Amino acid sequence: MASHSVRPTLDLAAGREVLEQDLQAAADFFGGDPIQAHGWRRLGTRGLLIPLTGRLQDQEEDAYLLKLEFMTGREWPPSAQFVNPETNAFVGLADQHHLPRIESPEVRVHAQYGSPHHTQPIQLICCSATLEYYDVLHGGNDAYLWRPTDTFLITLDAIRRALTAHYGGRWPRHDA
Amino acid sequence: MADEIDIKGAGDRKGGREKVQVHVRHLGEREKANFKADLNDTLQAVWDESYVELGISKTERDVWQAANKQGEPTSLMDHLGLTLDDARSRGLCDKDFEIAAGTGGA
Repeated sequence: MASHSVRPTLDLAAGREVLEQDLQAAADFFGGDPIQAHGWRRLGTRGLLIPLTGRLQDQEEDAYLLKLEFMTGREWPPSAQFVNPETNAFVGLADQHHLPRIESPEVRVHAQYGSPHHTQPIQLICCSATLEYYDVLHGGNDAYLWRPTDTFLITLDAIRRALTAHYGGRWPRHDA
Repeated sequence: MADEIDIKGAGDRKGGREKVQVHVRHLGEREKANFKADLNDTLQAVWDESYVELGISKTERDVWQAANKQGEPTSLMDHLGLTLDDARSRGLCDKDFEIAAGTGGA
């Protein structure tokens, strides 16, 4: 069971199983292959790439790519990071313009979050349905803790809901 | 044709009140239910009835939402007092309803 006071323990084999189980659960729930239906892509055996969009009023959509990585058993949520669509990675400030600005009571996107548990700042989608939220020991309301019965659909839905109602545009390109 | 007001399904009249078919999905439990609701019912009442139909208990983290016209999930939590009819008129619930999981992390 997830906790606000314990950092997740990685278990890559379990993560692979969780992804397979969750994709099947999503297919059963939606009545079809969600990868095909929504333009998602598999990345290796533990990754999922999900195109998302944000839209400011009266402006064109901004495209983003969310990478979910399944690195633990069911007791923790997947890792969630916005990534550069050309590399499928996020390398820090050089990629910060691939992040959406989101500030909501449920989700907040930090391009560079400093944590005493990491040697370098990390991208943090601060949301109780992402692995990083627990890895930095963010703390919060226990009512929102990740549950072992949850799937990545909870993660994705929370981020999409925040993008819909609290999107603040694209992060600016970082000038080195 | 006022009698054909519909939310994702065929509407009908019973006892002079307009009924509509609503479809609800619970994202956390991955369960679904379909049932008829009155257009004069509030979103709160339909949300409450959804738990009965799903056979699932409400929890503190639950969020009542619907997809907007772009298919994006949109919270209805600030509109629970609206009737289904009003909510539809405002474009808040053209598609299925969902019980999602609220998260924390601001």
